[in-house]
Amino acid sequence: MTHITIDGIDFDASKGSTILDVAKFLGLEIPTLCYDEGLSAWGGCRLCLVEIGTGKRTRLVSSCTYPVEEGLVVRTATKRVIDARKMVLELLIAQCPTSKTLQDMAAKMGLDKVRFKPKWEDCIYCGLCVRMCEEQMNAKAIGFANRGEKLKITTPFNINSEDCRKCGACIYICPACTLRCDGPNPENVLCGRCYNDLQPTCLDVSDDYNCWMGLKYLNVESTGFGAVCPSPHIEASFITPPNSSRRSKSSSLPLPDIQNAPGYGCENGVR
Amino acid sequence: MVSTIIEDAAVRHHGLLIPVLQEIQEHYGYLSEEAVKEVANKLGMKISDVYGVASFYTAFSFTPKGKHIITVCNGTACHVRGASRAVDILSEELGIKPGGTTPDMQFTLETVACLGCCAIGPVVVADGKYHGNMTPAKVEKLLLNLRKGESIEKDKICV
Repeated sequence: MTHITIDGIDFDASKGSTILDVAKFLGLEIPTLCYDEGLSAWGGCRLCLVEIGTGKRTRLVSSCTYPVEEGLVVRTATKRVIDARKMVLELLIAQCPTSKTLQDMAAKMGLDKVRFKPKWEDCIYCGLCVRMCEEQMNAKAIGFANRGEKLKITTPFNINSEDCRKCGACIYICPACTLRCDGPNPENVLCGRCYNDLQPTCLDVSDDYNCWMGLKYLNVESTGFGAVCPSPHIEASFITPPNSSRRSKSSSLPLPDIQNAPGYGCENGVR
Repeated sequence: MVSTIIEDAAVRHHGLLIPVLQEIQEHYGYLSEEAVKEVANKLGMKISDVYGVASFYTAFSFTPKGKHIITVCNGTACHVRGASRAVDILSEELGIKPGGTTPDMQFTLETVACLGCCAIGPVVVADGKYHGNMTPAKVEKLLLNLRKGESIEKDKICV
C-alpha cells in the first residue's frame, strides 16, 4: 500500500494505481477526455491535470498516467489546475467546436470564452480511436501518420485497410465525431446548451428531422431560451433568447459546487 | 526483389525498422506500398506502424524521386544569404515546386531547414555533393553540369 494525501484526504492506495484511480475511488471529480478505462492511459489531452508537491515546489502532472508514490501530496482543484484545464479546453474547442463532449465539458467547467480562432477541424488527436483499434479490437488498422501540423489519423496510404473489419469501434469512442454539436455560436464557438438542461436535446429529436440539431419544440417560456436550427425546413428556426448570449449566466444550471463538496479541503483555496 | 533486400537488411540490422526502410529507400528511391507491406510482414509489425514511422521522417518518401536529387538549404544563415534565389532559379528552370519531381523523372527539388554547414551558405546539395556559396550563376552552372550528366563524387564538399 502507498500512502498519499489527495485534497487533504489521507488514503492508502494500492501499488501501481494512478492518481486518477484514487480520485475516482474517492469520488473526486477530475475531467478526462483521452482516458478510457478499457484502454491504456495516454496522458495526451492534459485535461486531467492535477497539482502535486508541497510549498513552492509544486507541478502539474496528468493524473491518468502518474502512478501513486509514497507520501505524494495531490490537489485536484487548485486555481492553477483549473486555469490550466480551462486553457487546454479552450485550445481543444478552438480545434473542434463541433464536439458535443467538449462543449458539455466547457459548460460544466464554466468556460465563458474561447480566445483562439476556431479551426473547425474534425479531430482533436486524442488517440482514443487508435488505441481502441489496437488494444480492444486487435486490428491496428489506423494509426498516426506524418508529424507536426500535418499529423493525422489514417489508414496506411489513405486507402481501405485489410486490417480493418469495419467494426466501428473507432467511431464509437470518438469524442469529436460521434456526438456532434452543431449549435456553437460562431462568435464565441461555445454552446453548452445540452448541458444546461434545455429539452429536448439535439439527439432526442435529431432523427425526426434528419438533422443533428432539431430543437423545434423548445419551450421558450419555461427556459427563457431559444435555439437556432440551421435546417431551413424547420419553421421555428430562430428564436432569440431575451437579450442574452446562448449561455446566459442567469439561466444556466448552477455549476457543480466544487468548493463545498466533501473532501475538497485545499491548501491554496479553490478559485 | 524487395523481399530479398528486406530479408538481408533485417538480418544485418537485427530486425530494426528504420535501417531496413533506409535501405529500401536508398535502393529504390522511394517506399512503395508493396515494400511497406512486405516490411511489415517480414518484421512482424502492423502496416499502420510501419506507415506511421515512414511518414514521420522526411527522409522517407512514398513517391518515386528523380535521378538527381537537388536539396537547397533554407536554414537561417543560407536564407539571409539568398537561398531563396537559388530555389527560385531551380524551380523556374526545372518547372517544379520544392518537393516536386520533373515529369521525366530526372530531377527532384527539395528544401531543408539546415545542413549544418552554415559557413559556406547558401548551400545546394546535388546528389550528395555539397556546393557552397551558391550565387544564381553558380546554380545555373550546376544544373547545366547535372543535365550534361557529369559524374559527381558523393559526399564531397565543393565550395
